[in-house]
Amino acid sequence: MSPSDHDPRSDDDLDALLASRIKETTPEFEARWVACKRRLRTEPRSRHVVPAWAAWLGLMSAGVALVAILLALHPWRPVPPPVRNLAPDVDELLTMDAVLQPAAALLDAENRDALLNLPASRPPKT
Amino acid sequence: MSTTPAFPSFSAAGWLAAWLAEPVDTAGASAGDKDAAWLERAGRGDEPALQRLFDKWKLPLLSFFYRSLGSRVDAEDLTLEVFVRLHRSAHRYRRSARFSTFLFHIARNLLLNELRRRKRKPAEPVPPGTLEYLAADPGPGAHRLAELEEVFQRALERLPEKYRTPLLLLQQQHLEYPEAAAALDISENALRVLVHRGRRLLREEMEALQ
Repeated sequence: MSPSDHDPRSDDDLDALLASRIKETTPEFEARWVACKRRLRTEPRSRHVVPAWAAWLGLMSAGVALVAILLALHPWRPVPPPVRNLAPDVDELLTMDAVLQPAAALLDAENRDALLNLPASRPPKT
Repeated sequence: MSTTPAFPSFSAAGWLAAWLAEPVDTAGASAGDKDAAWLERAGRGDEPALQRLFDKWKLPLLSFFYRSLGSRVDAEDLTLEVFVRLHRSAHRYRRSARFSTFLFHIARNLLLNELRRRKRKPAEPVPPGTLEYLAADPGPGAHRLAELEEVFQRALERLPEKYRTPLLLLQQQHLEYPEAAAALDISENALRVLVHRGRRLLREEMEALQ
């Protein structure tokens, strides 16, 4: 009977073909296994390998911690004052204000208030 | 083909499914228990235990890879690689998963890597005499099957892997549906659909090749 004479749609034949296995190994294959086994014998065994998910979790935690530390230790520079485009008199006034701001008051608070409340200019005597 | 050692790549879902898979029959479970015990011993460096596993599973694996790749040389390479990986990942095995599920999970990952890597290679069919056809029926039935062998193997190679592997796991390796589904990371219902379609496609391929 040639293959073409047979109906390949037979379930039994299909099952039998699918179930078929190789009967035996070759001596070369067995020799390769012996060599492979020898290699495995000398290979250090890793008994406690960290699972992949734990490794990823650890790496991500370490990364986040590192970023947090870098942010905390970063020498943040003060924001530079905006470029002023003012009239020279006003600019000078602001500069003086900045210079005098940390100075100690020369007058006590009561006298200073009194002086500050003096009229700016007296009416001329007639 | 190279047999570069690498750690098996398990998907979390697949391994969880395998881990949760319950034994389906007592006899199979006890055989699996023995295999599991051998694997644990092999993981502790017990060489005879590894040899026992090799003796038991070499032909099933060789047959699985041969039917999947159509090349005995490649099948032998991958079979050896399975045992290398089995030895290295012995500590990851959980007794609640069937040993065969664990084994064929590794085998299938290797097969997928190989299929992705390899270019189309010419088939290297083995003589039908090297396959065991119906040991219980060496009569005309076996003769007829031997004649169909070439067409069958070519048709099987043409079948997409997603159909071929389920057929082989169930019919060649005699895995139960839950085991095979866990090894393939799919549901049992999805597996039944793949098997049904796979058989139909396989028949069609064989008819086309006749």
